[in-house]
Amino acid sequence: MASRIPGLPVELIARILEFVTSMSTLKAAMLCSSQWHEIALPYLYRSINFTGGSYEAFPGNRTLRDLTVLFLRRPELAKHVRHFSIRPAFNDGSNRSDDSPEQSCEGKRTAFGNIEEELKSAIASASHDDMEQSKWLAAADVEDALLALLLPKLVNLQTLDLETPIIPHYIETMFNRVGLKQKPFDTTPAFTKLKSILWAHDDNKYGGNVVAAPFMLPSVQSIFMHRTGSEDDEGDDAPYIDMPDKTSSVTHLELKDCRLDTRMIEKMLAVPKQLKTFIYEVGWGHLSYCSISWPAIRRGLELQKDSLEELWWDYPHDGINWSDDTDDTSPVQSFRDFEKLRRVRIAPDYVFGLRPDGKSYKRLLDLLPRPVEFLHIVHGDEYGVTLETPISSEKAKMKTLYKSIEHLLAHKETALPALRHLTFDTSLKKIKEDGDKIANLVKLAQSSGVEMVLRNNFGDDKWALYDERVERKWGMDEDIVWGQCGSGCNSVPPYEVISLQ
Amino acid sequence: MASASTDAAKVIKVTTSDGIDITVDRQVAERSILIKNLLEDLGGESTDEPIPIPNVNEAVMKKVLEWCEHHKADPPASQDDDSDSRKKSTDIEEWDQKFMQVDQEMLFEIILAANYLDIKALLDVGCKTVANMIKGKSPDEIRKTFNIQNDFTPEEEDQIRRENEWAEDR
Repeated sequence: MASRIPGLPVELIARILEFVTSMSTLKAAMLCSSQWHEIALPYLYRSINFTGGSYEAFPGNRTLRDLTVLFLRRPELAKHVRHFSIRPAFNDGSNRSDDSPEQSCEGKRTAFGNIEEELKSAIASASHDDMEQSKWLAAADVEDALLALLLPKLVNLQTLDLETPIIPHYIETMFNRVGLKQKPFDTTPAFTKLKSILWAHDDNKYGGNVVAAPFMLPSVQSIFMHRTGSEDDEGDDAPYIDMPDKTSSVTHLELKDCRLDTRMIEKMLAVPKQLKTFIYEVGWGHLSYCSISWPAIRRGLELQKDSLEELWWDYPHDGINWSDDTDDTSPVQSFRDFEKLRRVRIAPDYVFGLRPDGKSYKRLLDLLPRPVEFLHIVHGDEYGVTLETPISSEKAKMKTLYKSIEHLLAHKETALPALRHLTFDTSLKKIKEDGDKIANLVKLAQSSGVEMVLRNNFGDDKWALYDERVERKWGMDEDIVWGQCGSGCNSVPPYEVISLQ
Repeated sequence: MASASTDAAKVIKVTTSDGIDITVDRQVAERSILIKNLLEDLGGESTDEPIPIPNVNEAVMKKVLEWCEHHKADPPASQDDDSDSRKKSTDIEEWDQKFMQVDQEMLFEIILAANYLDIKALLDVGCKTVANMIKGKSPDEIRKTFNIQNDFTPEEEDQIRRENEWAEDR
């Protein structure tokens, strides 16, 4: 009996397959007929979320190697890939010394068979000398070495979500060569369509290296970094030195739990033509042993004063210790000339410095430009809490903070007419201690036409809720999703709104 | 006069492929960009003349208009047709799910009509329904659903399987 089911034109079959997210279903669709193969193929390849990699999972290596060989053999397939992510962090081969003999490099070579001609040829054309070529060939079953060959072949890649392991040699070398336009990227530029990249590091104690190449990519709009750091005095060998100021198309720069030396952060802020969003969560000293200079960060931002719309300047949920000896913790200069700055999230430390005096409470109002609409005080419960701080000094600092908000609200009408929202992160302990003061601020906000929201950041009991922690999203509105960070450092207990009733 | 012309503009008639005239609220019919543009092209002219819809029969048109009636107050679809930013979610709201509980012939007819009439939101609901329907199915089952003739040799099928071994549901 002839089917009464009407035939659907190609564009409608494509539209249906666009909604199919299951890889196995897309594979089944490809096997239906040559026409369906052609329609389904771009959808199978558009987004590769690679989860095969891990230190232990040799089958993961096998799959990544298959994929690399496939793309080298058939570059037309690689053209379909728009998004690539890998979790957990890929294998960098650093565990090889621990391998048992049967899992040694030779053992794996036997298991995987001989190195494919495509890999040999790709390694030959990417290597800068014979020594590098022979080492790279010997590492051809290591994900780091494979990804450095695979990723540049994804010529239409738009988003790249990478979490790097401890020593990602080939990936870093490849990216540095892309940035510096060295062989083979002198003649074949890579990542020319890449708009957004997350460069994360999976270690929860030490940070990974900064890779500067993304700033130099022609289409880049957003750069996200997690757990990366730089050392003081990296000298002229630092990969970012060659980046000319005001040349990068990046508009969103987000550095979460990162620690960058003065030269690096100033350079990073100088390179974008027009930065719109800057988010910097300054990480702990272990991450990279460099000093932090708040005035240097502020100096860097000065170059973006005509474009900056959103600023979030923070430190991690778990806290931070500043060093009197090496860090420059002078309070930051006003952003008054930042005419486009609408939204500010900032920790009190940066506003008032670590040693506020009797007039410091004026600094919050002085800090903000007239057009600001949203203000969010983060870590509002622990201003000045350090190991050495005497209780009396901590109380004085909190007094400065509360007084600064009172002062700001009192002058809101004339100085900050656009301000309509104020979020204040605090803890239940502080609400108990300073409830009257905080309630007074809420009342004052209300009468000034500012909606004030109190959030419990669990600052009084950071570790009790460890199991409740959830992976944070990204961006000023925390609505951008990247893969989960294996360090565990990007998770916090979900902050809750506190109602004073 | 003014009120008469306003009243006249409130309802329109469409003629389906099987020659049936259907009277419908203009606001409902304008969920179809095709009909909306046709009406705009007519300007302030009388809309007494039925609009011919030669690709859609009465049964399908009534079903489509039922959907349009339910969604008449929805905000207009955005013009964002960038396939990368389109909502990939296969979530379908409850009313639409029930609406789409029809036999497969009608489902495909609705998709074809939504495409012809240019009703993007209905087209998406239809396509999502089919996407959910084929989820987890084998090539043979998908071939049956869409009435597809397999033109691969076993060797070609084998090669496609091998090439795409990397892609698995996680």
